[in-house]
Amino acid sequence: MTQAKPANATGLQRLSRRILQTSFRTHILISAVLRIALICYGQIHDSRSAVPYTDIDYKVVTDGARQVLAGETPFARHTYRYSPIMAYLQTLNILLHPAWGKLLYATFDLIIATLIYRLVHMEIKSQYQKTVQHLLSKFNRPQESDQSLDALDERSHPENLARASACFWLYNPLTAVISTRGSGDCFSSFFVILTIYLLLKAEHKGSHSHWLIFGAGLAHGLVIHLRLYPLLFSLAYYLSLSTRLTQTPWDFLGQVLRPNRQQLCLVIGTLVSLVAFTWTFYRMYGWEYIYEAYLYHFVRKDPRHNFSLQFLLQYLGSATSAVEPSLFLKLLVMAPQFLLILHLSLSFGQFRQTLPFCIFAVAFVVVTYNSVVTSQYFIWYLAILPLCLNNFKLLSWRRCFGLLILWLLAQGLWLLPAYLLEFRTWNTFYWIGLQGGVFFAANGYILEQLLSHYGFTQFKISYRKLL
Amino acid sequence: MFSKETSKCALIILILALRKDLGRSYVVEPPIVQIEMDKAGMHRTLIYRLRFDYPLVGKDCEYVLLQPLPASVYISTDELDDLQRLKRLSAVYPKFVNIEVATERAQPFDVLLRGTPKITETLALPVHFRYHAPSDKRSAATVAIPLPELYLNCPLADSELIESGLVARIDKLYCLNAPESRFDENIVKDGEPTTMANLERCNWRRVHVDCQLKTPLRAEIPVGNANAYGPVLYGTILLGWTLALWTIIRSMANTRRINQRLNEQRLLQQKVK
Repeated sequence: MTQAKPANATGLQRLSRRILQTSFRTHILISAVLRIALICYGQIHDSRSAVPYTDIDYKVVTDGARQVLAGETPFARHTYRYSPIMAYLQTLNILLHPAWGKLLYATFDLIIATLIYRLVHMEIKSQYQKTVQHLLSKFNRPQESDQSLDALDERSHPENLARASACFWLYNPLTAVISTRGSGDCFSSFFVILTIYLLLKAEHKGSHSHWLIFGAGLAHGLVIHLRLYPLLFSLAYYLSLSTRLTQTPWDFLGQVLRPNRQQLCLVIGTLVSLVAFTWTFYRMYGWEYIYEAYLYHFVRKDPRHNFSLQFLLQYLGSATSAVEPSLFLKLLVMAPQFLLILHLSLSFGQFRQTLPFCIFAVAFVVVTYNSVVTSQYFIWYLAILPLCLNNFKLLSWRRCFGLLILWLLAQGLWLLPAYLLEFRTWNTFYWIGLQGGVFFAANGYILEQLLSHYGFTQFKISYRKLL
Repeated sequence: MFSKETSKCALIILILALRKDLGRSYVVEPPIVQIEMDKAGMHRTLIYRLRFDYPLVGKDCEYVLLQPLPASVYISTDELDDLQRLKRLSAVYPKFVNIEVATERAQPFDVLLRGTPKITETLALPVHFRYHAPSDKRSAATVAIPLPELYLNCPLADSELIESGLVARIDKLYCLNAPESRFDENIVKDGEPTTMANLERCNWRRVHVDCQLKTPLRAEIPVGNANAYGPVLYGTILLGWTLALWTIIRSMANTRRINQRLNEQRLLQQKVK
């Protein structure tokens, strides 16, 4: 993100310099204070306003926790459709203070920032060393390695990039508001990032790599138990542990049928935690748990307006006289999403250097092509975006802002007919459907831009210092 | 002839008798409920302005305004819970209302708004309209909200306050069934023990109410065209596939280049090790 220089570049530069000069610990402290202030504001707001600040799901989970404390199943609370772990986490809402859960989720927000910081730092450093080694090999000196990072310019320095990435998460108003409203999304996002972190760390820790990968599997299994969507990241995780490039369908089949030891560790770790958690809660709460936490999401039919391309299709399909479409047509609607996930997993999931971006892109596709899309789903990919910021250096600042504005504008354009339907009772079903298509196309364009401009070795290395 | 004293006594007795008759002949006016609803939107508020005649005010009586809601209208129980917590509403409503289903799959239910009679009082009930299933015959559905019913319950000692002229059904008493948010007719079964609590709970009388509508309790809810399903289905498939294939084709060159470079790095690493 270096090419264009906007008019107010000096102001931006000054701000970014100031951010970079402040220590990471200070940023964490400022963010913690900000989040505590938001939690306090939420408490005051809720005691006075009929439109609450607190997320409705937070109340549902708290009620579930109340049931747990009374020795009942959390699923006795209607619309409780989460893992019982969430209710257990929030039991202190009743025993200690109603804001306990918000404090917990805000803490996970800060832990995510720490993970982002460490992950980006580790990744840039490793990539730098690999790039240097690659460069030195051209001078027939591949055995040498440069640990000093002296040849790096200030802006590409791991410390600065890691801090900037963490700040992108810490000061994102959306994430701060979501966690302080009591949404548990950052809790599951933490385990997604932890999985990536452990997989990347395993590459550098030769002796304990298998245990780290097993740990990544445990984290992955847990997050699938918590939310189903990370299941779609599995292929990318699996392929990132391969030792050779998959180029043909036969290579791919070989990868799947003959896993290496690392891949086995990942699969076993995932299965152990997924089965252990799910089986334990099934034994405790029975079929009701399986239905409410998992199956309900597949059979749910909610034709109310949302951002999804499939909204209008779902609404019109809810007619009492409507004939159920054939299995072939249903497959045709769903197939593009799976095709893209397969393509992204094979294109960006085969190396650990590109894994964070791969998971971001897969999450982006999962949300964009989902049959129901609400603003809360955006956090699925926004949590992983800071891990890839360094990979978008080929995009100019102007283009970055352009893409951001396009994303916001497409949402704004959708909001107009949605408002007219919801608050003016205008018949804007087609208009909403059309805007859903526009938002879908805008997201597709943004993804294409990110994929086309992705770069993993964008360092300014001083040859003089290096050689 | 009567003495002066006797005449005075007779006059006083006459006045007292007349006053007693006057007191008895005062007819309690039926309560007035002015109802208003927002003019547009799927999310509206029903506003009730209640006026009770003064003999009912200040006593230990209680009223319930029963608002029947058709299948196309729902309430958010969480929203009403919040209003109750803030003491802006006292109501009885079903524990769970499915807010996701369309009108055709929903059931009607009642909301009971509780209070003690006052000269004037304003109540606000937020309601939401459900989507209607698309149709090939109409582009809007008219939803009418029925008028509310009013029930009064005075302590047994004050039960004569609810005069027969005020009561809609003189021969009937009702029991408040809070778990089901409705009133049940009080049918006394032989052998059933009569407790004080039961008597209080089943001492509700439905009274006449003068409903004055400030705005019609009707809403025009948009309905999609079911005939458009086919074109929308094929349009969705076409757009989904086009974008997916375009994304794959456009990104292929870059991904191939990246994977080649990373593979070179990997081979180099393996060679160094």
